[in-house]
Amino acid sequence: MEKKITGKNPSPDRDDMELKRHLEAAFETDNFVVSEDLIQRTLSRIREAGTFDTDNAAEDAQKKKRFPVKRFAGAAAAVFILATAVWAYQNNMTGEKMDSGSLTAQDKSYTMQAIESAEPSQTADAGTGDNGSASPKAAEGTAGNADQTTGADERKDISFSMAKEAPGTGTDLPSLKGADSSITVSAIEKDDIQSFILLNQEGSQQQMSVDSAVKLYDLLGNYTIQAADTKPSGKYVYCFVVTSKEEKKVTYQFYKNSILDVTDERAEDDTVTYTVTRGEDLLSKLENLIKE
Amino acid sequence: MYQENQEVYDIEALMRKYGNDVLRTAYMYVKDSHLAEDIFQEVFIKVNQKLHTFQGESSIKTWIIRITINACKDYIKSAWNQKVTQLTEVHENTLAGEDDYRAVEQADESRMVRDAVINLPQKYKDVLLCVYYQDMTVTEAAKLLGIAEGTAKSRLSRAKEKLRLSLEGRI
Repeated sequence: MEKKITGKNPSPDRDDMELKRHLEAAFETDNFVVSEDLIQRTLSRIREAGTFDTDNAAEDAQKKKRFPVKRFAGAAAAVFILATAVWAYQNNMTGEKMDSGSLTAQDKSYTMQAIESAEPSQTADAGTGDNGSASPKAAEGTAGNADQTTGADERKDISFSMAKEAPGTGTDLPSLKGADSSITVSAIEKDDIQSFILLNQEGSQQQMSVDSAVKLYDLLGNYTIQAADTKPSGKYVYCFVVTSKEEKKVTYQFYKNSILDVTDERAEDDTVTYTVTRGEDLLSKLENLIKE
Repeated sequence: MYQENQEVYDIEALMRKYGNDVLRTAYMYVKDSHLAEDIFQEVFIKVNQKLHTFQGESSIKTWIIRITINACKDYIKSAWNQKVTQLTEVHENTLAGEDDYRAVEQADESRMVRDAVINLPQKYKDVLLCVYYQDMTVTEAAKLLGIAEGTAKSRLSRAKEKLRLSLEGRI
């Protein structure tokens, strides 16, 4: 670079002391120059540094490649945990729903059982009513009636299980009452009946046949019977005592105001009171049964 | 802008062209040939790494000298931090001693001048080497050193006064 060397007040960048020349001369005198060896060593170091940088770049690239994998793995784990939590939560909710659903189904099964018990009763009501009014004796010996009796026994068996459970499960009975459900009273299967006794109002006993007990059950199956909170007033009109072979007695006391008291020694609860629809009609049918 | 695939060859060309400037400038700071060679290698490794960032705002030589001066200052700073005897300041004060003057008198004129420059305080040496040894303008030197142009001029004048004072009657 050309320097300003003219003027009385020279520019400060003027090398009036010839410093550059002195410095170069000093270095040349000392032969202080860049050697070929220094250049080669430096180039070697540059190549090493380049390789190192390349390795670092490769490592960085690998890190960049690996990093998303870790991040995705973390995200996947988070999603999995979230999904598991949601699944568990929903499962619990479903479980609760299933529980409540099963309870409802249980209630429904009771209701359905009761309805099933009631519906055939109405069907049998017509049949038995016809048989009873037109030719009761013929009905006793016919196979059709025998089948009908067997069918009635099955229904009573179902009804019995309900009546047996009801006292033990205190909450079930009121619910059945509240639901205005139909129900049949406790019964003993024909083969298990040891004796069937009629007690009249005066207290005298009348031994009746086992078939009469079955007829009594058939007759009760024709009516809708509901558990009730009301207590009977006065003395019963008819009282039937069915004794099982296990010496367990089931007592049926029929009152005028359509009340039926059933005392089942097989159950913990002694006496259950029911109301019977068309109670007067039932009493008249019972009168016919006794006369037979 | 240098192409990446030409880095090695270009850096070699740069070393051959500007190597002496780098090596000698480094020596002016560290005052040791081996240390100057270390600085030389460090500078050109850095030049090779940063060559793609060179925008051409200054000459390539100015850019390389800037890297050299910064490398020397970093070395001096680290040496200072490591409790190594700091080169510049100590020798600045001893420069005025009669023994030193006698030793300088025994050296040739150029070596005496070089040592006088070496022993200048760094801030004066910076601008002196940039302007007189590396042929930069005051403006370029000021920009390289990160100082105002007026500051560079005053430092340059002060450096010359110091040199004249130290070399009075000998050159």
